[in-house]
Amino acid sequence: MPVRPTASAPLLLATVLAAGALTACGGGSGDDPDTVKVSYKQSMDNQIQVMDDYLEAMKKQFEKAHPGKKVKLVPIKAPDAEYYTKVQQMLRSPKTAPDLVYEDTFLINSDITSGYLKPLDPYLEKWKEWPKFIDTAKAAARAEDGRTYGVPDGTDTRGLWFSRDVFKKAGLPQDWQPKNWAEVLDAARTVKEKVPGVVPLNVYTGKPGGETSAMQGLEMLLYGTGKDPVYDPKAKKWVVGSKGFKDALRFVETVYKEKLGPDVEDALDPNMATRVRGEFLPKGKLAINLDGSWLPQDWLKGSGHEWPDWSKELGLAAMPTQHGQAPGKVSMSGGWTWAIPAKAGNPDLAFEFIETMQTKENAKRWYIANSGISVREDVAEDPEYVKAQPGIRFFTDLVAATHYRPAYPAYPKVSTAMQEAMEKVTTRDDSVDGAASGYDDEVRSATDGKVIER
Amino acid sequence: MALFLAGPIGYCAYIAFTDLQLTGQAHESFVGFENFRTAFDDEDFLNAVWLTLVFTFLSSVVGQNTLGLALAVLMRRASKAVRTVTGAVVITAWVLPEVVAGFLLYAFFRRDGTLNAVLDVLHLPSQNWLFTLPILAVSFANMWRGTAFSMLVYSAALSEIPKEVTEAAEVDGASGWRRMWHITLPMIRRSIGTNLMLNTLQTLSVFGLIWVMTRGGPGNRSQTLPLFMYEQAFQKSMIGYGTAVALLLLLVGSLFSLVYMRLLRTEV
Repeated sequence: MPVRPTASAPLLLATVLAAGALTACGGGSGDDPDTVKVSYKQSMDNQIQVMDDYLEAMKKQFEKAHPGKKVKLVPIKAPDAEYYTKVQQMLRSPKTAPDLVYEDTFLINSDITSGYLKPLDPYLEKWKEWPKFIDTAKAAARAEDGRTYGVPDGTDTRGLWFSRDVFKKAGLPQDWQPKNWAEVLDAARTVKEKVPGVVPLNVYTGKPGGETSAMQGLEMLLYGTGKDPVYDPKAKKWVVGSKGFKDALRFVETVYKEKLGPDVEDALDPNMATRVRGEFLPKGKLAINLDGSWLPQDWLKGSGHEWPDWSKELGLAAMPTQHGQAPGKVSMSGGWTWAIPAKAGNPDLAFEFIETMQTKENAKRWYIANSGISVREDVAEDPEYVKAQPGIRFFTDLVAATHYRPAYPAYPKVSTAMQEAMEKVTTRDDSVDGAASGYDDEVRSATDGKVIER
Repeated sequence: MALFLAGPIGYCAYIAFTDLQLTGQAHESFVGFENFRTAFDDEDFLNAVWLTLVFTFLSSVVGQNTLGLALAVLMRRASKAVRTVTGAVVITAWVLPEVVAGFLLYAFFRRDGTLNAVLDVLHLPSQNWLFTLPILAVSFANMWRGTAFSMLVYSAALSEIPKEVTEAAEVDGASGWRRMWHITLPMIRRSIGTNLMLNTLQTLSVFGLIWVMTRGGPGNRSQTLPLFMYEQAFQKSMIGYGTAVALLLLLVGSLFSLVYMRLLRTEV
């Protein structure tokens, strides 16, 4: 309904500015100085309460040790992508910013650039536990300004999970360790031929999966094609036009074109990752799954999908490099950190809560509870940690061959471009070459042309 | 009213001319019409505009409107029992929360869903509607959900038509269709316009239904403007660009409104 404008432009502008000023500066007045507000990501699966239980226990310890202080847990129940969005909106204002926030290393650099987070160096210098952290992990939350903005609470690695039962039926070896991509695809083809009704190979793909598709899917392939396939640290530029990228896309295309993967509509189901852990793998409907080290946390006691025999029923193999070139295997690592928002009302108290969570015992308890890979040297050696779960040794050993993402501010957009390219070849909407050149264009525009041709 | 709304609306309009991002940027800057230029060069945006038009035209202009009118006409002649049952069913679809309706229809259209089960029984070829024809599936869903509103508007309009007029026409020997075309429709013209306008504006901004059913996928084959906007603003963190797209959506809505208002203006 067109309305005749009655307000003159300057008046309107003044109103807008006033509104902006009124909404953008509150002084965190609603904060209680004795309460630490902790925001974290709650699992989408109601039956998984690993993190809730752990934080609840930490809260009890903290409140006992700090009389008069309180911890308020603020769970955010959302898929990863929506959790990030929600947190970023909370961090924009002191009224809504928590005192402590659970930040994915995937986005932390973006959020640092935005000025959402506080550098922790003054705290870390005085903290006795900090030297016990592994150097690569310390770097996960270090920004380009050299300061550290988050304390990592573990990392993860990735590899191939395979169903022993399906492999037996297909006549494939129980100690399977493919040497290159072709062997992975061949195993999948064998399963397709000999064990009908089972999905041979799951490679996460497409936009609905978000970062899961980019990291567990494309990057696990891409980083097996050569050095620095996404970002060139020497040139400080993003890589475009590489053969490795097309090869990785071709692998994805092959999986879906030859129907070696899940049905495309399942693959593009936003809840695929949850379904793989809760339904496909435990029910023996999936032969090979390219996925992360954290899977067993869904199968532990009290998780709701207990699967005590998973370690007997599933085998593990490292993801090979493309042609078996050194070091022969590849893994990606991410993980989460505890960070303090720039607009937090009680930063000091928040760091004390980090200290509570990161005593050696509590750190160990957390790694074991959520199937995390230790980022602390003292815990990595601890027999209780090593024996806590089958597979821990396997995934901890992958750390030697692992890669961290170039998680600079442009990375989330680059990641989205990867997901789009994957989706195009998955749905057969575009050829590998078309999807790859689409990726190059997206990356050029996302990084203001800071690209290098390979 | 203006006091509460002017600020946020003005701020939104301002954001559309900046490169504000949700994360990954220290300061935003004013970029003028850059976002709009980007939009018109963006294939995905043009695709979203096209899909929005298809979605609106199919599910609202054609679907809800025609079906609503047909139901209203039929119900005038039906017995009280039939009227009550039909009314209840249609209105139930309308009052269901959008997300619930979305899940119901997702279950209806899925590969192993109700629709294919029915087609199997009839020995007709089944297919995965959400995958092959996503925009048709969501259009149908929106039609299913929104028809009640049109039906109510038209029932009210039809009951306003004086009996004498229809009876006179009958005596003059006008058949049913001709009565419809020459008498009924002209007399409820205003209701048609109003209904079209309300329907269109509602349909243009449908988000939840499509989000639940397809998330705009597969690919971007059911990504209408509101979903495209969400993706740009919240998934790619480009708030500025997303807001610019929102303004363009507003423009599309205004264009529709203008057309309808012209239609309404001609006097009987």
